[in-house]
Amino acid sequence: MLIELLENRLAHRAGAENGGAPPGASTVIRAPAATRTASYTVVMSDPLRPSAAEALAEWGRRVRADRAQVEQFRELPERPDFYAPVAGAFKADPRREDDPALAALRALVVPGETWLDIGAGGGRFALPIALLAREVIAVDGSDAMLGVLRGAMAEYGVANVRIEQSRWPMANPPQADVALMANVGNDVEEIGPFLDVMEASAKRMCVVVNLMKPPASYAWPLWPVIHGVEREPLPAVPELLALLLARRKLFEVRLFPRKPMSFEKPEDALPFLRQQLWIEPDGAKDRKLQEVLPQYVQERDGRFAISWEPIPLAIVTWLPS
Amino acid sequence: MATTDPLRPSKRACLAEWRRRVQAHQRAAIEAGRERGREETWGPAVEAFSADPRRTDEPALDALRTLVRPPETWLDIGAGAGRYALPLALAGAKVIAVEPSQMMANALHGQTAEHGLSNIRLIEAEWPMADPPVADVAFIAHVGYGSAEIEPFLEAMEKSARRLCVAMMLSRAPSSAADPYWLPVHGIEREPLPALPEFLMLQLARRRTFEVRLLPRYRDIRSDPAADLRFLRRHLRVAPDTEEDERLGREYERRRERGESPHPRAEPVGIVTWEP
Repeated sequence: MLIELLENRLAHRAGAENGGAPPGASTVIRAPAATRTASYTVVMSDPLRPSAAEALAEWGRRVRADRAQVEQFRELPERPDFYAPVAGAFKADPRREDDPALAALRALVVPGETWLDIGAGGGRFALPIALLAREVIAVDGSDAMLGVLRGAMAEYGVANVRIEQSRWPMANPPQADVALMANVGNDVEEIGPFLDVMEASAKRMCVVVNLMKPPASYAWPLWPVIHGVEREPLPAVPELLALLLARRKLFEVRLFPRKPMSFEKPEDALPFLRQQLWIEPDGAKDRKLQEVLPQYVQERDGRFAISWEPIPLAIVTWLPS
Repeated sequence: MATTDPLRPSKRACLAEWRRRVQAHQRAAIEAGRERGREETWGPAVEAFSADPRRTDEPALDALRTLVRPPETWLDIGAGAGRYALPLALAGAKVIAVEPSQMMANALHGQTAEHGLSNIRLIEAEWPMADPPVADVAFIAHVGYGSAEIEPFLEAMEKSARRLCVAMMLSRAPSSAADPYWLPVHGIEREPLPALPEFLMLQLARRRTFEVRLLPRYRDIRSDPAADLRFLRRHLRVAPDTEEDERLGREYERRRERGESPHPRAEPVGIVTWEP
């Protein structure tokens, strides 16, 4: 009984925080500054089998905490299309053979199938899959990314990609055999409806490709010295697995080693760190960053990294029903 | 009632809940007056725990075979009568089988001799053990569901493995098919043991990075009431032709008519691997 009450309370709160907005609407909730970094915990019924409601509430809390920190500390201006400056980096040769994770993904494609790629970006995965599948439906909201995708389709001669410009979840979502989300979801506040619609759109399988820790985590150690606070960690694959268990889903996981991000010279890390710390070049915080940077990079074999701990890439698959 | 993060549960909270469940499961047997010693428990199961080491009807075993890199050493903890130790040895591994039950160990000896295998060494011991052997791979199959103290068990397993730890686990504990019969047969409710979902959550709490494969346990699933009843009698500690056995038989029929399989052979098996 107590458990039910708790679940109801949590579900109620999750609903209240959404402000009754439809799924996917970008409602920005501004928490009072005092509670932004306070790590509140919920009373859990069962740590080995948390309820979906409490897992979803914690996911949303983390995403809001991450965003609140950005809003508090950002010096860089907000851009209407966040991915515009980096969209070009999301292009890749669909026939590349040097990527074991892509090879594993190709092995999941059954010829004749339709794949839905949610947040397809520049087509890093949509295009190689399209070479094997009947069709890929690429859903993405970013003009810049879709521009890159159209360019890559023309350049590499891949025609069987159907583009649907939309955020996810979308109204009247397309049906496919397999629904894929690659490097998407960590910062989605309402991950529940996002996954619900993904599962409803997939007949055979759901697939997630993502890093075990967000790439931004390389910059986390710098937050206390630059901004005076610990960075609120966005969820990543371990949290997704906990969420799937809470949603009573079993999954398969395959891991692929990735080389840690490293640089030729310590100062080459500055553009990445400025972006992840949301600071302008040559401001007071940037000068502080340049001053402390040598203490935060480690040299190995003539290259420099903030951490040499590798972050593996995971392919997670589960059955939609 | 633990206070913790549902996406990153604390190890302490998970271990406490694991212990609580195992003890609640055990308590039901004590309250029903059906507590048994090790040999009483495992002795009647020897037959069920033996299987043709060259069998090809178990997809999870096929997947396990692909993990062997001959001539490496596998430590099979709780090897039973050698259901996996023998196929692993045939796949080219040197196997160290650790098994505490005398009757299981005898059966394993017999199987090893019958199939002319010389690359299986048997250690009769409880896990964790003093001076444990070290191997390339430490492996458990359908072991751990009933370990109240799972953390020292897993830590010792990780310490004994150089390359990889492998856990084969069902999505529901093997005994869970019998749990719903405790109330009608013995008048006591029995809580299921933790299994694969709980084990995965525990591994997340332990901050382990793992791979998972899910496979059907058997290729053919045939209905076999005689085998079902043997399984249920063994788990419910019921002798044939007793009053309890009669209740068990009635409950079995009632559930069969409703289409409930008492022996969920269709439950997937997980193979979880992680680096020690």
